[in-house]
Amino acid sequence: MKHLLAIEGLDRPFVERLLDRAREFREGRVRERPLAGQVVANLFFEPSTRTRTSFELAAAFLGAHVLNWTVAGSSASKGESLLDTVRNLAAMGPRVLVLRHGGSGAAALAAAAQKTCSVVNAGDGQHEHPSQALLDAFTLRERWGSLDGRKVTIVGDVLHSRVARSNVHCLRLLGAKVQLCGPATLVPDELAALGVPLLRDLDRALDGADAVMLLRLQRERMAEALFPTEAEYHARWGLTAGRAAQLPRHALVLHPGPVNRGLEIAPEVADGSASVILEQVENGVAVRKAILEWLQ
Amino acid sequence: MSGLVLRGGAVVDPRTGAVEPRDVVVRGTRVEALVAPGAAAPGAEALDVSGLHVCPGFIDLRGSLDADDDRLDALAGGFTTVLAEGRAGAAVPRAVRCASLFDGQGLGALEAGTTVLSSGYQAPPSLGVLRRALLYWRDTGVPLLVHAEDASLTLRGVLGAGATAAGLGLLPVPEAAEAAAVAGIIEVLEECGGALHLNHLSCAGSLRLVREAKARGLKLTADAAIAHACADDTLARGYAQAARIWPPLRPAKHRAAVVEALRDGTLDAVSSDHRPVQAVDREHTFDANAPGGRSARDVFGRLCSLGLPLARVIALLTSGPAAIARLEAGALGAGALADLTVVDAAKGQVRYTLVNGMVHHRGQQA
Repeated sequence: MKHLLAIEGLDRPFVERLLDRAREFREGRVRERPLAGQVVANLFFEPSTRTRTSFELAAAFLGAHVLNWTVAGSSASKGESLLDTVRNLAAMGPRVLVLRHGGSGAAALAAAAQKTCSVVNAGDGQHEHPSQALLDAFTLRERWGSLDGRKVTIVGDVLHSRVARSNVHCLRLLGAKVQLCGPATLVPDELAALGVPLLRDLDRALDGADAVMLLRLQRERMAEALFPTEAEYHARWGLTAGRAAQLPRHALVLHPGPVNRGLEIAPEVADGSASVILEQVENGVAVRKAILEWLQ
Repeated sequence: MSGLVLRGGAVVDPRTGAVEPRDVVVRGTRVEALVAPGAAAPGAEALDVSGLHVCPGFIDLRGSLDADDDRLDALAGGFTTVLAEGRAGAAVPRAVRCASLFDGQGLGALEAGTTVLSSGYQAPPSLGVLRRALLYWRDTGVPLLVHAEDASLTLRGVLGAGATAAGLGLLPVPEAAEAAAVAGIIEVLEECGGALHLNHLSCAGSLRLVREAKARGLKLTADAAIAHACADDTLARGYAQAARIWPPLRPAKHRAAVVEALRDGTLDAVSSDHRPVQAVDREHTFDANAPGGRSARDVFGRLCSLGLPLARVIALLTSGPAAIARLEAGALGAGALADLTVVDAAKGQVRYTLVNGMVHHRGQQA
């Protein structure tokens, strides 16, 4: 049974084949419906708009019937365990479970708990969000041809970010140089274990960057005393218009969404010519088609 | 009353570290005498323990006796006395019931049948309440066992801060969550006087503070759970549920510090932290599952794997915890309780567990 649980552990040829296939989907060159008659179950324990919708569109395109299962009104809100939920849903016979859950390791647990469904990790806690990293890599690869030697700076709340972990693994796998930037509350020193430099000065971190990826900073982190105020954060760690102007002319700006305008990124930068934020969303559907097809 | 003689073994005296060939003569629930090999009067039933070591029964400072399985695990682990919370169970192993040291923001009380106050796995509500507990109980002789943790530093962390937690996306628990609490507790103890025990220390900073406090003459004792002496945070790779324990596992240098502290006497005891969890608590993600595990059975074997002298291993399981909980058990000599644990030290196996002179566990010979 094939699963997509994490980027860590994948090999480069596999990822490149997947991204090549995503391009064929993106260009409308695929007419097959390999999931015709099958069920893809979206199992979302946390709210999501774009990831869930993106998988739904991809699955529908491939001919699958999509079952959306969200936590509100479900047994999970009555205390059913994750594994119980997964086993029960698996018993209904879907071919694929697309799982989003707040606990790191949830997707691996779900994959091990049953033998009939392929599991796609659509975000597990602070661990990984592989389809997001693949669509980010796809977006950069379409722009650049290759990621080899490119410098990508990821800025913000890495501690709580599954997007950041998956991107570190994926971008490095494809030959990019990755660096992380943020205050030590959000980018703890131990993250050096990921094998990438940690920078504490955003202007230095942006110097010569081919792309900068901002992470969503949840406003609740302020109440947890992880940063002082939104204004302070924006001034020191935000991609302001002034900072964006200092980037190399060819540099791209990414954000996995949803964007906190004026916090991690200035509105005019999010909407500016360097921003590929909407391209990321658009490419997400093609990448997820390639993922769902590969699972067959 | 008929007697029992354990013949051919070597008796370990954890107070002196002496290991001498002696036959142990048991009459009723007490040890009658330790005699030279073969010198016991004939007629008594004999248990051949040649090649084995006879020790005082092991004492577990934090275990569980709630279910039959827990009692069997404790006996298989050589434990004849277990400090545990909750209702009184069967008579074997001997249960020492702990009442809660704290009650919300206030002080807990000894209840009927309890002789020890422990905060188990719960941090003191504040240093202020801990100080009042220490003063209130200081002159009563009641043992106080404290879990040192600053919850504001733990936050939602589930694994010791380090490379493993960073890679797995598990929220980290900084070392200071324990060590800063230990530092505060030591300051309070130093000012108030009295005696205090620290439950399951797990990191280098805490052990350094305890070592220094003991050197200054504070009446401070501490134990480690067997897990922290034998495993580090890498056990959590793949979100292995065996690593979901509390305090959390930490990077290797902390494990090394625990082993060193067991060796040099900074730590006085090893506990099992045997803490059964319900099956449903292994059905969620790592962070959402309750911490715990069944660990009583193999404490001796795991402790033997650390390369400590046998007499030190036995002291950590007998005289050390007995002194902390102020128990009669934990010694072996004429007149002592006939709570005995017979081990194969070379193989790290418990072979017989006797409580009140009766054999309650016979280990399989490997």
